[in-house]
Amino acid sequence: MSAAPRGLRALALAALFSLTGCASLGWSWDKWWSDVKLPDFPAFDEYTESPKSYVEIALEHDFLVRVKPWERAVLARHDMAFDPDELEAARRSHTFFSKEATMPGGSAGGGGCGCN
Amino acid sequence: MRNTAAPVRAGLPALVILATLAFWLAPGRALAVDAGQPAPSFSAHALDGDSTLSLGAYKGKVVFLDFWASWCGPCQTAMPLIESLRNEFPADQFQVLAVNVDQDPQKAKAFLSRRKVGYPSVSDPEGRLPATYGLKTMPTSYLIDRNGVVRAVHPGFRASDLDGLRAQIRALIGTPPVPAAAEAKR
Repeated sequence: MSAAPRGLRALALAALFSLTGCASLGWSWDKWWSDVKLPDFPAFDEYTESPKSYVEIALEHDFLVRVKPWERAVLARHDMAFDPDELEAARRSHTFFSKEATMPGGSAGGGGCGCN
Repeated sequence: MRNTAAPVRAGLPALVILATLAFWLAPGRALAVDAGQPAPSFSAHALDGDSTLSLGAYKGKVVFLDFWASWCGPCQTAMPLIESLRNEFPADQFQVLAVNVDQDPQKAKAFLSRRKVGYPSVSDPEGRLPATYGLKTMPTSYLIDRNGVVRAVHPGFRASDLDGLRAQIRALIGTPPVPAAAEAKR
């Protein structure tokens, strides 16, 4: 045991504590894994075991399709926007650049002198 | 001697993958209907009933063919303005035909019940017509002359576009239709 490097021993201890800690809270890796919801994708099980590359899988399933302009109904939804709430986004931006003392906050590089 | 071909060979699979992706994602260019080309004719179900509307029935009139969807913001701006444009010209000279591309036609019907327009819409939930016309953006409208030839493609819509459209329609209405005999010769 004494032959093991100190870093490795610390890592092993950390792993042990994290596992036992989880177990003491009634939460184990097995349970975690069983709770994970896999995507509703019929061929998912097939591909988790297959040696195919992501590119091959993507090409087989038409993942790389261009959304046509007339197919953007879902993308046009309010909750699909980068900033669904414009007012909230403006408030955050204002708070950010006030704190950082830069102008404009977040949209341009600056040294923080307040002069740019 | 150094093997100079090795880096090239190593880069080849990456190049093949990139080329494949570029091909896959390349926009369809050749299919778009442009000014000067005959408007592809179609027949489709009317949005508000069982009747069938066809573009061919409008031959002899200037037609404003408008592609719209209930989820498309500029379409909401455009529709009342297109309606006002339609009312400015006599019905035997100028007609508006709209193509709705909502995948759920009920949404389009609900939209039209809130914003009533006098011109008819056909429903194309599968998106066959916009694919035929090669739409690049929503909304897009096509100004078709009396002989069924596309004279102008109008992508997008702003309220300020109305004057330009009015002038184009006026110019097309002023153009007499080509007589059938002359057209057969073409």
